[in-house]
Amino acid sequence: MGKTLDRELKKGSAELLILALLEEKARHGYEIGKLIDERSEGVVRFHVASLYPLLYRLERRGWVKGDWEPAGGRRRRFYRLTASGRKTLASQRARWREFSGAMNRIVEVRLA
Amino acid sequence: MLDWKKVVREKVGSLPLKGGRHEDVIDELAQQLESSYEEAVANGASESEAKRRSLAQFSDWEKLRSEVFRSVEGTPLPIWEQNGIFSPRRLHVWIALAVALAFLALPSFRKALHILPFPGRKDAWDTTAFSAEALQGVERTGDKQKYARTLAYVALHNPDDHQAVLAAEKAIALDPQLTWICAQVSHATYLEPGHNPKPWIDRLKAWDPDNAYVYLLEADANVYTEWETRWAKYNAATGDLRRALAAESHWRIPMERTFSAPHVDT
Repeated sequence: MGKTLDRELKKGSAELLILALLEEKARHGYEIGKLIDERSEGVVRFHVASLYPLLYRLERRGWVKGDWEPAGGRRRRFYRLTASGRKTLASQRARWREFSGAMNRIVEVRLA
Repeated sequence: MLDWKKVVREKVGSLPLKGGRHEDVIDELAQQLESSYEEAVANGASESEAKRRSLAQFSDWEKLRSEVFRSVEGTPLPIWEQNGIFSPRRLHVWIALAVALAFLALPSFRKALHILPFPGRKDAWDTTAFSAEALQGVERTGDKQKYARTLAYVALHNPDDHQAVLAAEKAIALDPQLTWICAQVSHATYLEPGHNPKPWIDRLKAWDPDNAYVYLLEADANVYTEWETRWAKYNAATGDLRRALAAESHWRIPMERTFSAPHVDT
């Protein structure tokens, strides 16, 4: 039970992180990996070996779409959110807020 | 200048993705490696160190192949496309399979498998672990090769007492050193109509007259046939049976020899 919850949380969080980063604009895989590291100030480490399979899975589900585009003198595969991806992001973000809010209410309780 | 596409292509190998996705994946992974390499060099790493750090991002290429395939196609990578040590793509797997099949084609190997104690099966040395057919096959081999120990094995493990007696006769005729199996056969003949255990015990006495166990067998055989009718009426708990047996010379004399024999070899 604990392991399942942990795995689901990690899996769901990873998807949410990528969908959230693509909300602002289209990005390529290398940039996504760097951004997760930078914005979390090194707290969230994302294995590159897991990043690409995850991007391909999101693409297969129709939540993101990848296209080759020129960038910095080379071709990069940029991923952007689809309409379906935006709905999924909204849903996952709401669930995350609900979950993190519940956790905060428990963890941040102070005795009067 | 490193050819990162070539590096990735060598590591990933073939990946049966539909719609030309294979080349897309190679390109994308190569760009990840190249960008990491360039960043490491820009931060002062040597080229070899930068290459090492870049490649370290994908330490398990076989796992990456499987995960990429599963993510793109939505199904697991077929086993014949995997490159693991037990993958059918490996030559040694086919060689091992061919050797295993060659062994299975040998009748003697299949026969040997019959005596292996597989889980859920009784102990191989338990007589019930062998079918009558398997034991007959073993006996035929013993007859053909004139191998006394094989026949002795059949005599000791055959649940059919008559067959056990016949196999014992053949085994002892071939090798008198195996006369000790008479001890087992003499017990078997108790239940076999028309068979008398005494000749087997006499053979044992002639072969090993100093063995206490022979006389113990004799004492037992002397009273066994009368057990139900004569001895069952005595109460063993009160010592009646002991006193009655002590009065019976057919039991007492061999028992005296049992206790005076120089050694016991069961």
